[in-house]
Amino acid sequence: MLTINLSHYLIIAAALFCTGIFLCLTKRNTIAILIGIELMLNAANLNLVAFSQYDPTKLQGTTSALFVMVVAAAETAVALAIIINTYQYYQTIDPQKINSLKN
Amino acid sequence: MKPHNEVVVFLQSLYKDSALLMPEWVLCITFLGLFVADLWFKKQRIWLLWSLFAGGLVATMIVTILQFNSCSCQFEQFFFAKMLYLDTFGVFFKLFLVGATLLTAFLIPLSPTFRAKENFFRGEYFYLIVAVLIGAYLVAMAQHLLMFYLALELISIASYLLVGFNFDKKSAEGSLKYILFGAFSSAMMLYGMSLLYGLTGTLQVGEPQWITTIFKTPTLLHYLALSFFAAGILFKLAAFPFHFWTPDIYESAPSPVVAFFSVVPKAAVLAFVFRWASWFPSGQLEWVYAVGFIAVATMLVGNLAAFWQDNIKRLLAYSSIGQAGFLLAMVLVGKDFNLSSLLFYLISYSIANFLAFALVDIFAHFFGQQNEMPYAIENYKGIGTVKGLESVAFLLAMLSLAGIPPLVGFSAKLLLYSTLWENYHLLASQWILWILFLSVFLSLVALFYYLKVPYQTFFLPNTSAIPLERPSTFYDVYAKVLVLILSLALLVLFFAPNIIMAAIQQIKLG
Amino acid sequence: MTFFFYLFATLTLLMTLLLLLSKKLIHLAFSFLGVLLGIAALFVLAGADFLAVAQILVYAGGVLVLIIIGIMLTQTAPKENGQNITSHSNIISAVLVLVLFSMLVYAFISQPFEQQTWIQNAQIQQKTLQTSTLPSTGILLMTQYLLPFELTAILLLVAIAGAITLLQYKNKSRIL
Repeated sequence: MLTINLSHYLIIAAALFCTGIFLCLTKRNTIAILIGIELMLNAANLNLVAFSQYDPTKLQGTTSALFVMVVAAAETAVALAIIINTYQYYQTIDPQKINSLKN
Repeated sequence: MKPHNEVVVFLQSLYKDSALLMPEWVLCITFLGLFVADLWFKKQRIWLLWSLFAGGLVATMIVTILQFNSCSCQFEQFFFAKMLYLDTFGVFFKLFLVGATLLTAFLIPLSPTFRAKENFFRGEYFYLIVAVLIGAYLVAMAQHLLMFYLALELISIASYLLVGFNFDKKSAEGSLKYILFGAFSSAMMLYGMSLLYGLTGTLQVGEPQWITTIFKTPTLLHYLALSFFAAGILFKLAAFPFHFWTPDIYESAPSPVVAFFSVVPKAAVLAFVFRWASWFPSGQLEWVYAVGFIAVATMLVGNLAAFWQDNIKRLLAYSSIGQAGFLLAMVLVGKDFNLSSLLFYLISYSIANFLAFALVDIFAHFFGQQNEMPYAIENYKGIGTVKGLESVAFLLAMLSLAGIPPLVGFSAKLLLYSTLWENYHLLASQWILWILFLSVFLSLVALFYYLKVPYQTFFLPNTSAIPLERPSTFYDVYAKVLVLILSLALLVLFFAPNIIMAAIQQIKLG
Repeated sequence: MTFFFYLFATLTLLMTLLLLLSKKLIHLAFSFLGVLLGIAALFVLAGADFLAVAQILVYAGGVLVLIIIGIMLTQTAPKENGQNITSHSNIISAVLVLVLFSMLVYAFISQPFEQQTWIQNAQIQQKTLQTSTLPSTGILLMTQYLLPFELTAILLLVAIAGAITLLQYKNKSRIL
């Protein structure tokens, strides 16, 4: 038997997920928004791992979390390349000040 | 998993299944070949890279057609450790996707970046498009949520980069917005996926047992999980709550890429959505309401906002949102829908769309690089007398998108409406009737903004002195031939829809 | 076991709080490091030992370093990094996020996942994770997950090549 209640893992993950969303919605800095997105991905990973405890032969959750990590790393690399590229044009990374496109 | 024998047997089955992945192998070889060729050849050999790209796509198309033919004798199966599912529906979508990519390949030489003398057109362009196509192929067949997520991320990451490929200020901003919205929505989708895993104990979707578990008891948790999961899908479809990115990205990205985005990733995700829709139990109306609401809102947003646009690319962006709404409305029809009307609509929409974007680029080049805004609609004033063929073709593309006879867009819309009408009788849901009325009304509204550009070209006097800089003759002839072929396709498919209907009607969803 | 779980859970949540309150971007990044390490510890307690190591190597060692380099290369005036807590939209989004959080927590508590049939079956059959996941992860990556594994190869190639290209070329004629 597993000693720790499953829902405790899920609540921690939910807290991380909501923090991530809050960062994405409020921060006026693209890198902070990126950190928010990473937090959301980590929350999903924590969920996957917590559920995977009950799936010991197939381990679908744990393996998926591994792939998610790879994707997150690739996404961060691309996002930072794009952020630095934008910074070279605009001299800022505040998404509200980067608005040459019509809204 | 301990015994050694089991692993060997498993590997043997994977080896056998890899024959079914033939089109994907060809695509991967094209991808790697382009990667190496881009490093090997000098920049001036851009046409050589282009022909490698087009050749790889043609080869993929042939292999996919072979797969389609062998598929027609009703084999439907899970393969690759149940990651993918092969049926006529999936293979047809693959055929459609590679066809659309091939059209994109023919659009690329028209883009200002390709024609410009500075040669800042990069070979990376080609293999990123191939990477998107690999992702789209796998999304169209995915039966495992992890597979779906990875393939979708491959599409997304390559798309974020492609948006930046004008290498200018606007393009940088477009790709920044795209990656922020995209990564946010895919993180939401992943969280939803993890909850779905918790609810069902498996990431393998579509098995009868999975369907009964997931649709058994609609509770708060069930709604939360499915709505989070829907976020990523709606983002890729540019549907209602996640459509904000579309106009900005369409305005900033290179036009062939935009034409590609408005068809290929959308069609791949639609294939996945329709698989889900076929699993919905017919009795459950909650999901009919939810999808119906999103479809209606998407149609409204797309068609109404398009009015106020004065940039042709933004106008086409809102038009594509509106069209996605029409396609989503088809999900409502659920298990028993008439697939052929959906597929026919998809084909007619993409031909008209590609024609429109080809013309946008041809005109943008005509208005000249020195013009600050080559995509503004006011440029088009009185251009009909100067560029007759192109203007008429633009009129045809717009009329087909709006659904006016004698163009293929009309027959496609008629088929779609008749299918909705049949299903209204079948399901007896007032909701479907309202959606039908609304979509008919909105296609009338759409006529006004679709005719905005043709009105400028034909009825307004030519005020600005257009620099009559003649483009190089080769590109001129190439553009004319491409435009003629696409416009003829719009007309021919109206008079003889049987050319593709015969193939479409064999298609079944597994 | 239980003690360690609550210890690391508290640490993770404290770090998350710190992350929310930090004004400077670099503080944000370092509290993010704390969160990542806390999550790695939680992974160990959930039996995912290999994943915990990967978390530290890939996230703390790779992604976070990337983010810090990103911060370094985009230094701006400090006032742009902070957020204006009192502004209207921030309060609205705080309320929205709190509503979402309470909804999730309510859902988890009112219908615990332990009631799902598959989890109950696993508990009855005593089929929960007991041993290290390392051997089975290795075998799974080469059998069941072979196709996703190869797909990540293309994904990483695309990310590397695309990111380099994007930074390498500038279309000078059209810089406005």
